[in-house]
Amino acid sequence: MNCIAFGYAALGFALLALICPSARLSRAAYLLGAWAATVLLLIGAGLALAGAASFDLNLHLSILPALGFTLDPLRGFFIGISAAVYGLSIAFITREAKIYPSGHGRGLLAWTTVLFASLPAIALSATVLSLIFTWEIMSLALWALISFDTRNPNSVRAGVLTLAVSEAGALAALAGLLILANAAGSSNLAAIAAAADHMSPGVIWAGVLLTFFGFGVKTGILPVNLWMNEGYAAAPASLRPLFSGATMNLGVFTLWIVDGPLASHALWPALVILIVGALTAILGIIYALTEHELGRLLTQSSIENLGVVVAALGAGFAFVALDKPIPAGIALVAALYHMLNHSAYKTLLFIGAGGIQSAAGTDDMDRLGGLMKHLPVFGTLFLLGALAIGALPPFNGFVSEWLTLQSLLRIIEVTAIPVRIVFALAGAALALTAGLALTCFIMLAGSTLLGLPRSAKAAQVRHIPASATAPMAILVVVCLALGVLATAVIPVLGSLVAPLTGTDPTSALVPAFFHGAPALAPKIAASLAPIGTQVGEGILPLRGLAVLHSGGTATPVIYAISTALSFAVIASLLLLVWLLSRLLGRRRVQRGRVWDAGLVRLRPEMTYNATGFAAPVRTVFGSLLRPTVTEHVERHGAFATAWHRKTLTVHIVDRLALHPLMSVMQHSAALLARMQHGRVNAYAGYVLMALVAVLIAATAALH
Amino acid sequence: MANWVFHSLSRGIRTTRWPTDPETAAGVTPGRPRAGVGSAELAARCPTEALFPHDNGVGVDFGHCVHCQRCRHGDEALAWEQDFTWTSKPEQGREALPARFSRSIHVRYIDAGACGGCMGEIRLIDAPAYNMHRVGIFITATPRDADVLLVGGPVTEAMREPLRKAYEAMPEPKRVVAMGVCAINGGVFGTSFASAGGVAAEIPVDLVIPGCPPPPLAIIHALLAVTGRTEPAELVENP
Repeated sequence: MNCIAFGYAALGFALLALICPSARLSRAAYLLGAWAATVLLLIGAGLALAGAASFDLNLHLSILPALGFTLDPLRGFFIGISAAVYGLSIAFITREAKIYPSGHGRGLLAWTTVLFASLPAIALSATVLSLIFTWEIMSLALWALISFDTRNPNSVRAGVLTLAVSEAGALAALAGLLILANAAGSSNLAAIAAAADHMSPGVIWAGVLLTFFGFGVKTGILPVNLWMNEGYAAAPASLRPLFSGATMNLGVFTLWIVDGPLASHALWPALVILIVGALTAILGIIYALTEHELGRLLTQSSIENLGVVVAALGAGFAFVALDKPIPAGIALVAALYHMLNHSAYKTLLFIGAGGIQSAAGTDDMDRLGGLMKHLPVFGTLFLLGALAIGALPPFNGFVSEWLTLQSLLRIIEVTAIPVRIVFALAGAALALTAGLALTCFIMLAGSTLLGLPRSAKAAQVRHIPASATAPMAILVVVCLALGVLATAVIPVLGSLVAPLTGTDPTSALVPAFFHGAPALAPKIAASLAPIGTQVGEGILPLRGLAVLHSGGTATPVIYAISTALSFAVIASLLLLVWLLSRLLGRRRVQRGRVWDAGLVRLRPEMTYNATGFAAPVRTVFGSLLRPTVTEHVERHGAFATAWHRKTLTVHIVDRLALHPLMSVMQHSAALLARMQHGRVNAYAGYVLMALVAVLIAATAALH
Repeated sequence: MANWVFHSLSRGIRTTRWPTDPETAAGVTPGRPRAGVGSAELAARCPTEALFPHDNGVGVDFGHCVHCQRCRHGDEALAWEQDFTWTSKPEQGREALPARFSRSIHVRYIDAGACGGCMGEIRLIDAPAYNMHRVGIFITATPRDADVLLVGGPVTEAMREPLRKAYEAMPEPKRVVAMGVCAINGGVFGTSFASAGGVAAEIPVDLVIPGCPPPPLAIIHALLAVTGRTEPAELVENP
């Protein structure tokens, strides 16, 4: 409680520092305040996670009844992620704010602070009122930051779309919450959760659908993610780490807090969440592959990752509803783990993309290339981030994707055929997503870092600021640690899951090889010893090094993995190869020119780029993407001198939802406009008609 | 349905066993004249000046011979031999590749302005009758992976630079084989503003394959000679 209050005080100090007339002093003081707030909030979150701190705070204001806040380990987890993302990205945001005129730059930082301040507040909200109130602050701060560059009409348009979608979502969520609060007889979220098991199915359906899609606006689920592509593209590049790494998680938080208890009592709402999540993931990654700008690609990839999280949550809720607490716990652990991982590597990649944009003046991959040559450190960090998000071991993305897919496969324990079909299709979609994600991030790293620079500015990039590379280095270490020490992360997440499922899945997932007897048949435990499951016993503060799920005596081991062991094997193999090549090879390195197939002059435009790399995917999913192609040939006599070909891909949500909605609105507006034709007599007629109608209504009411 | 199975089984293996066994099938080579007794008129009959008068008769410079067979018939005639092991090593040619290449070499072919005849024969070494893989020859797509650069054509002006780039792109150790009369000395194109007059004008050449075009077995012979598995022959033969 104290730490979090002091953290907010530090944020207030940071805001005050922006008033300081000296630009340099103001920036330094702001950063100091921001980092102090980060540290304090992280300590508060850590204490809450450890169960050492919790509070219930109820403010009884006469105009705002029941404005309550509370802290428990789960909320501490979300606060910790938000604070870490903010602390890591704020130095880069502060540096990039310098490109604006002084007042504007300070405004940007002020809005960023307001956005960040709203995030822990959402995670602390205990009642409907405080949740909606803090949620609205976040929405407004997002809108302010997206339309910050008001000279750019695209920013303003994207801002208006963001505001419209956010407000529609917030209204839907508020309606859903009020229905639930009415049914539960209390506006306290904990009371709503407790009352979930005796709500009528209709109330549960209405509550789940309204809040899921209402709060889902920020999570980026289909179809309410239509603002994200333009919105994220319009926001200053330095802010995207905060948007993607921190704000999207709060949608997951509301899904967990509000919909979790409801969907845990109703199977089909949970399956709707699973289906929507899987569809979001697969569509997100397909659209990521059609993009050739780093920012837009990473935005679509965020949608994809959060889709995976939502799908895992849906699977977990469904398992709870089916009374399978252990698979439920595993799926929910996978969801939280993936969300944590996404925050880590997406912050890394968005900071990297922002650094590239500020150094090269563009984030179009078809205009970049060859950055590895002059920026080996930055390039390596960016590449490692791409490996992490591409779910390659030993990085963190692999563990959570693997757990997600494995938990979906546990549906074989359920006999209901329709449920099995839904799970199987969702699992297939998620598996395809994982494969396409790898393609996508090979493309991202390859076309940005390798090859020839495809523009003059990209060729001149020599330096990326330390405010970008230092956080990236920290995040690479975090990604590796989350990938290798999975058995240390799972117990923490398991304890967060326990209140929802009733059982902590840790003991079913991480056998206590180090401390205590593993809950396995002695024969199985002994047979695992040779692969190093008990290396470090008694020394390492972990339960064990293997993630292992046992189905009991019939199937002693359903699936098992040791991320630490595989990391050790990969590292020692690499080391061995390096040593052998040092010892045995004569190390004759020949340096030659780039092999350009013997062209007289290799122009950068002729090299393989992101658009070319993704062409097969665009072709395979052509019927889904439906690009509009316009061709225009310039002729000079019999010769074609130039051939212009333009491909425009409209997102399927825009095509199927936004555009029809807009045309209906415009049509009805045109119909209404026919009333406004400027004749005074007609207006007098309208007034008369309205008066008559009111009189008739009043007469009817009197009787 | 599976007629082709019986068809193939009844035909048996048709792949040549050369170099383990001799290959004497008709048509595997156009043959070549051998130096012998003859007058200056016989030498003058050669349209490509491959024959030259010598004290003892008529000598043959295989670097010019296009197998037209004018010296084979008539009053005076040179002996015509149906062989194909005629790859030879120029004076400045380097020694064979080290022994570790003896089971597998990777070849990059470059058409430096050839008429297409050489390309046709190169294609044939991958055909079932010759099957280059049985002797460990592989074609690669990039000189980065190649041990041997096989070049056909007189090296046109446009191909000078690409040829040099390809040679520079190859890792050491590397060898160059010039294939066909044009690649040896320009052939019918000679040396001109548009033609370098042979591969040696641009990059060092280690082996030459005479012939216009050289038959597939002559190419295989040359690629085996690159690794020292066969011995090269003389380019110029005196009577």
